[in-house]
Amino acid sequence: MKYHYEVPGDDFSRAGNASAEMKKTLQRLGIPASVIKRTAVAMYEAEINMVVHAGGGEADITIEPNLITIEMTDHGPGIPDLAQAMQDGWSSAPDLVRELGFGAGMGLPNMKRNSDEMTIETGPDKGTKVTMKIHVPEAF
Amino acid sequence: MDIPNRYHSVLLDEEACKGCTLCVTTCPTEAIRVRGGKARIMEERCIDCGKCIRRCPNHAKKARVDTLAEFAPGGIFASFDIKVALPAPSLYGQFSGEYSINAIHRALLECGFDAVFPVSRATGPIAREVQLLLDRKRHPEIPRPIISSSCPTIIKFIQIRFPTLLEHIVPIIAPMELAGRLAREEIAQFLAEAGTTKSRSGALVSAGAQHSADTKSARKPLSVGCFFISPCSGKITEALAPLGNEPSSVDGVFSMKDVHLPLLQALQRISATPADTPENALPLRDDQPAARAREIAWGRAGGEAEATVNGTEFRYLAVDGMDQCIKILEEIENGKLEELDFLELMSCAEGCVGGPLTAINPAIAKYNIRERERRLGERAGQHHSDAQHLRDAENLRDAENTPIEPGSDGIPGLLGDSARTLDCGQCLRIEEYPARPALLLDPDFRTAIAMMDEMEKIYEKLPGLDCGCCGAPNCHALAEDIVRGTANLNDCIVILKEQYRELLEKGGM
Repeated sequence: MKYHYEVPGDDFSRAGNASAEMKKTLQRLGIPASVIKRTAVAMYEAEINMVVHAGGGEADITIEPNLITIEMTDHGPGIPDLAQAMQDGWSSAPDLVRELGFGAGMGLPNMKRNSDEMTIETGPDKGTKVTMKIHVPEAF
Repeated sequence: MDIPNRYHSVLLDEEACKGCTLCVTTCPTEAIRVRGGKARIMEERCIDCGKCIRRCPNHAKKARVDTLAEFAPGGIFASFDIKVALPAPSLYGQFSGEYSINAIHRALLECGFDAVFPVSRATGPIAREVQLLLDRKRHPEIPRPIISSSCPTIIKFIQIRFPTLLEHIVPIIAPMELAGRLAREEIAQFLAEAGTTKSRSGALVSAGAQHSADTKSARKPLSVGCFFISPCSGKITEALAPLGNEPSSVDGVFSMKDVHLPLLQALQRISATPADTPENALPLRDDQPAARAREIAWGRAGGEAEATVNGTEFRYLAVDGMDQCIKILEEIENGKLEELDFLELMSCAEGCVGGPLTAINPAIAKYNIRERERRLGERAGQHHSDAQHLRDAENLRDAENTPIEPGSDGIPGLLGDSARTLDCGQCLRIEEYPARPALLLDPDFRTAIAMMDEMEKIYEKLPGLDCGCCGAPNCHALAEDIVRGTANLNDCIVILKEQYRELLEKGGM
């Protein structure tokens, strides 16, 4: 089961729409609420990151019986210092974005916290691809 | 009232329904489908928000309400010895400041109630209890923000769409429920102290005045019925089919719309007679006008949150209207807004005054409440303003400060006025709200995923116009209905038109 969403790069008000849609789909499937919440938070943070740093991108979600895989791909500038970006509170968001209430530096750490596995492929002018895997407990 | 079903109190009047799709596309939980030419409600999805009641031009969506006629002999409420009205705070917004709160209470008595327990009086103890829970150090067990439990529609919506947020809901009962419990307690205390029982004539007399033949064993305990005067359909379900399993203290629910005219007529009668004679003086004893102002403010958006954080530094947000509430719930589920201590969510725009069973325009009703708050506030501040003449007019009609006189039957007409009954620890909600997975396609994950797959394939065939002509609110919902087996692909009129054209072409017509 695969889902594809475009994340617009120029509209804050639409950031989060993909994760909200995904949530409804997961509810229809009977995925446990706690797993839905983790998926939604991880995806939402990634959506915001794409809008703030990369001019939008794409979200691809694969649902398997025991696993939800979220791939967030953008064609932005890449993350220059990944180790730094992974620290709580570190943000390279411009002031304008911070004034909107974003850019608290919790994006990547939050994505990592809410997924069971997270890998990041990034490089200057190569864009960034974040892959997050969330395990779905067997017994439900 | 017939036996309520498990989920909701909004009903379809099949005769009035023309089968248009206005309510279908309005419903926030996509709970309505036109099938067989009628807009039917899917019980498990209805949250009683009443949007369809407001939207339907044919008045085919109704709430399951009681009528005052049931008080008459032979009516289902005729057997109650003492009938207590529990007016919601929003009732005070249904009438202009020309009529005082006191007069509104007296008008309720004129309509056949024996006593009034204003629900606003139950908000004070609830606000105090909730405020104690807001302390993060003492109550780290509740995730922040703590969400108000007053709006039953919001609770139902969280049960269906945001089950991870159920533990944010404050473990305190709603004011209506507390008001019913307190009213019963107060009447029981009164009767115990007065030692009264009811004679055959229906009037309350003291036990000592009874005939000697009327032995103790022959006497029945007086039965008390509590009746909520409601602005919304959500509260009806809460009273008749409580969200938890605890029985409700409320026996019946009247809509503000239905009692509006009788109340208005009573108000006009009352205002034509001088108020300061003991028999019709039934005042709100507002020795604490500022507190009273905070209590009635619960009738409008923001009032509950303001009363709850009153006198503290707690941070709150008050949101009204379903669309905005959904957005805020999304934010919280995304882990945002944790800095907020309290969150008031009201499914109706402007708060309870905007309820689907109110009679007056919500903006005007909100203004009416604010005016009452302002006047109570002025009284509290002891300062005079340009609005002096307004207050004079009110005082002339109906002094809110005259002392309470018991009604002719001996029961105090206005309950909830003694500090004793309000000093309560019975606001705690013991039961947890369960999640309601109304969207679930199938309990078996593999079946569900196969259905989901099928749904997406069907969706791709659909035009994506979300026109609602098929009777489902949008193309996604139709795809879901087809997979669930309750609709067909050619319910879509665009697809049907294409099939028809093909048929015409094949037939060479």
